[in-house]
Amino acid sequence: MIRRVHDMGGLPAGRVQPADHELEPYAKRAQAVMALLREARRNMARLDEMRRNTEDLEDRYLDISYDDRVVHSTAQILIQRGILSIEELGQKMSELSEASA
Amino acid sequence: MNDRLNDGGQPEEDTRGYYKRMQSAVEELLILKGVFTREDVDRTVAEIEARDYRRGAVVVARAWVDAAYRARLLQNGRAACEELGLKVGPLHLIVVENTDSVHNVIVCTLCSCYPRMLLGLPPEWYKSGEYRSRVVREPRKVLEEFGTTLPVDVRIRVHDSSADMRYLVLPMRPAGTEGWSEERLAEVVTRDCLVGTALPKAA
Repeated sequence: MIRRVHDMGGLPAGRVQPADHELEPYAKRAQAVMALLREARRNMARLDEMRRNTEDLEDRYLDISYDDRVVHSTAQILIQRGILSIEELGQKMSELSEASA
Repeated sequence: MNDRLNDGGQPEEDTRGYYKRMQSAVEELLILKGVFTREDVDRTVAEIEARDYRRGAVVVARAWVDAAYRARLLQNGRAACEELGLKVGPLHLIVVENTDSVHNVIVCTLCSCYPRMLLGLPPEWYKSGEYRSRVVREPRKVLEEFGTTLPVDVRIRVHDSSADMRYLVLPMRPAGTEGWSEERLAEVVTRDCLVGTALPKAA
């Protein structure tokens, strides 16, 4: 069986850094958006979809933070379910990019 | 897959900015589409911020003073938490009890499942590759990195969580807390005690 990137239990790794820090505001908002989408009355996302999309990051999984994996998965789920299109998401991201430039 | 965003090839220093922008864009588009309102998101952020490990500490303190409650907690974690008005949601909660001979630690090797309803958001290290990889193989060494050294004759049991099965550690009541109130007992129960990387101490 091929071991995928998220399946890391038992692998060698460095020292655990017990330090912690407060999440950035956008990371908390990402958690909140996911929680709202998962609420039964919306039912627009499920935890297993989030995990699948996270795991499908493959090599990029280790390059980005847990919070960014949540953002990535949320966008993917919405696209896969046809709630957002790639085009409108790309367009909105460009607008935000220009607004902050 | 053709439904994937082309998010590869971003310069490294720009990655965080890229995902921040993606988060804003997703939120704004969902508000425009009427999926939820800005206020819904603000309120949910506030709820997330309000949930922290003190909920778990209250459960532990009750179990320390009430043997019948402790038995119910070990038998059905969710029902026992709900007795205290703490909503666990549609998942199994298994409470694992530390004793003189067994110490318990929790992890989620595959993602970062965590008893959020009782502990709030997981700390950075709980989500790290280092913790997820190593605590199942060399827990004693990892605990030492947290400053927790256990006697060699204490067995360490590591519990790997999943999306629908969460664990909570019930630590041993520390010596020197005889006669303490439940409120005072709850104060010695830190987040790390509930994960199993620390032991409560009577301050």
